[in-house]
Amino acid sequence: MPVSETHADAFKASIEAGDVVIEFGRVTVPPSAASGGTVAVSERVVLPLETARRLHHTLGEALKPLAGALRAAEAKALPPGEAALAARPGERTARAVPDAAGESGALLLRLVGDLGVPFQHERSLRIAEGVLHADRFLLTVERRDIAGDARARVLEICERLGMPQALRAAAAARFDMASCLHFGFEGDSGRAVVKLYLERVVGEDEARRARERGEPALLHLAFKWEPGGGTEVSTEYLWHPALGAAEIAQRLAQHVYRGVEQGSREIAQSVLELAAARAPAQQLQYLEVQEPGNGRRSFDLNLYNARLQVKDVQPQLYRMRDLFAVRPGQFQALYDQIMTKPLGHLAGGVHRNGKDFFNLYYGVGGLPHFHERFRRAR
Amino acid sequence: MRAAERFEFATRRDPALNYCLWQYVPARPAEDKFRSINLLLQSFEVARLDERACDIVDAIRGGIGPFRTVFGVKLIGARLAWEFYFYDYQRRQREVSISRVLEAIRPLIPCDVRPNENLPYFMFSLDLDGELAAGRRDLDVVHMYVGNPGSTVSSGIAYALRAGGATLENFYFFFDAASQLDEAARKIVTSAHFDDTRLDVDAVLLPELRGCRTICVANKQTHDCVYFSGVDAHQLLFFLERLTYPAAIVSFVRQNLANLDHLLFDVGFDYRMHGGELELLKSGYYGVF
Repeated sequence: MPVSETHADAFKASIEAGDVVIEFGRVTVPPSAASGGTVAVSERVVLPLETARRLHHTLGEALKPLAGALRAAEAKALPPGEAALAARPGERTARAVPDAAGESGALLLRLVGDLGVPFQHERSLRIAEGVLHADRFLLTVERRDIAGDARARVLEICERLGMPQALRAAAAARFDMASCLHFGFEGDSGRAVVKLYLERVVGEDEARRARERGEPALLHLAFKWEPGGGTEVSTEYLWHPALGAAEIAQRLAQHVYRGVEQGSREIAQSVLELAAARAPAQQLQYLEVQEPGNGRRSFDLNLYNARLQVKDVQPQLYRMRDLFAVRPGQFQALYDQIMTKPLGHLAGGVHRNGKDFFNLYYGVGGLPHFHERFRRAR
Repeated sequence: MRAAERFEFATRRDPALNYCLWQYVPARPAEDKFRSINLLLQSFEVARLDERACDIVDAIRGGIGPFRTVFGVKLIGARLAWEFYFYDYQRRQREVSISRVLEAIRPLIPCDVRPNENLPYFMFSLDLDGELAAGRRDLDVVHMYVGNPGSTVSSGIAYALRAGGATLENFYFFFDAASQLDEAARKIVTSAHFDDTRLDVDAVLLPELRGCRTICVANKQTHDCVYFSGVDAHQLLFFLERLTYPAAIVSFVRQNLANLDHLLFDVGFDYRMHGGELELLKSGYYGVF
């Protein structure tokens, strides 16, 4: 049957029983102040939602080349000042101030990628009084994978990201301890913090001696700074090897949360109990964190061996949300995205600003995704 | 875990969907208020349902994604029961199929119904009760809905699919509450189960609810049913009180009106006339997760 061509200058769309119904027609009486006008309907087309969605997309694509002409035509009906703006809608955004924190994060990702070695990518969130920050990640590189002078190449990345001279010298001096390197980024509230962690191997003998003496072993040494100046700190992560769940709980109570009001300690202990029910506590790496020169007193509990997902600690996360008065909708939006991610580790305690906090690390994955090492790991 | 410990809150990206998964414009900003799933979770708690019920919800949502499942909380006599409804208007090109959902819940609820995915159904539903939730029996029926070509209004037909085959269940007819109220009333009174010389149609077409968006009238095998789609939280409260829902459910909604006032709900009840009186057989309220 030949297809007839029908001209229309009016339409009405509606949804009926899940289908999109579009009626086309010609205006017979134009709209006026007194009436809405009259349309003679000539065609009624019923589209399944998916077809309507494709039509919407296709129309949008088809009109893109004409966008300027359409805007100019619409602007003719506006006052001159508004018309100028309406005809060039992109100008306001073109003058937007670049997000310096975001640029630092992107640069760090690019520079680590440029090392040309496989690396792990892990996201994290920080929750503290009234705030929930999620623009945070950690990139982990094996030192032996870095060709050439690893120290120089790593410190060059740090320098590109504005590492202060004193921290650079300190990192250079301690670089040999590292078997593994972690680059950290926080881009919270438009303020960027970049971190370099040097991780050493604590051998079985050293761990056993530390355990016998009841002393920790240095596992990570971190250097943290704001690229534009500001925070500049080094942080020690001290591993207490082979502690049982009761011993970890005791350290949380007597060291990390000493003198802190109830709430966070119970949450931390609850996560510990959950993890210890899935894996021997001795296999959960319990670290304490300190920073010379400030009152930071926190912990980091490695949960990988418990093989948990974020949703397994949903009750504890909800308690954090309530304890720190984070808006539930903001929290939900993040939780929905991460609930099925593998849970990495939980950090918490008293931060260098004296405030109670938790950090949750999750969703570790290998990059590039197609790298042979990660394919084998699966 | 207490229901309140599972409660979910609306984000600015949450879609507003009715019990046909059609979008509506929320009455006010939703962010930080309740998601409607909280009504479901609270009803589980009131009924002291096995914790596995929450696992079933998670399995469904994990299997087909968020905001693709309609739930109904039903009151049958004095007993609570639940139903999950799934829509995919693509019919044979569907993404959300009976097979896909049954597979998602199979570890929790085995089912020996073998659906024919070539059929042009656009909707199906699964019942849930205490026995199923506790894993004490398998799922033995899936309700499948097809369109009703020839009807002058939006319409659907439900069949019960069991291992032994399909049996006809119900017919559904949808009316725009604003423009087709008279047609809805005519549909209600044109039935073997309603005599409008003995009872005013308002007994079914409740004035307190008919200012909703859509009214659906269903003809079922032994009775009829009416649904009011797009009622607000105050109307939901009216409905729950009128249909004598458990006090814990009524008080929960009353106490959380401010947390629910961005949502529109869907409610319905099954009825028939008996001795000149309206006999209420079953009712339900609906939301989305």
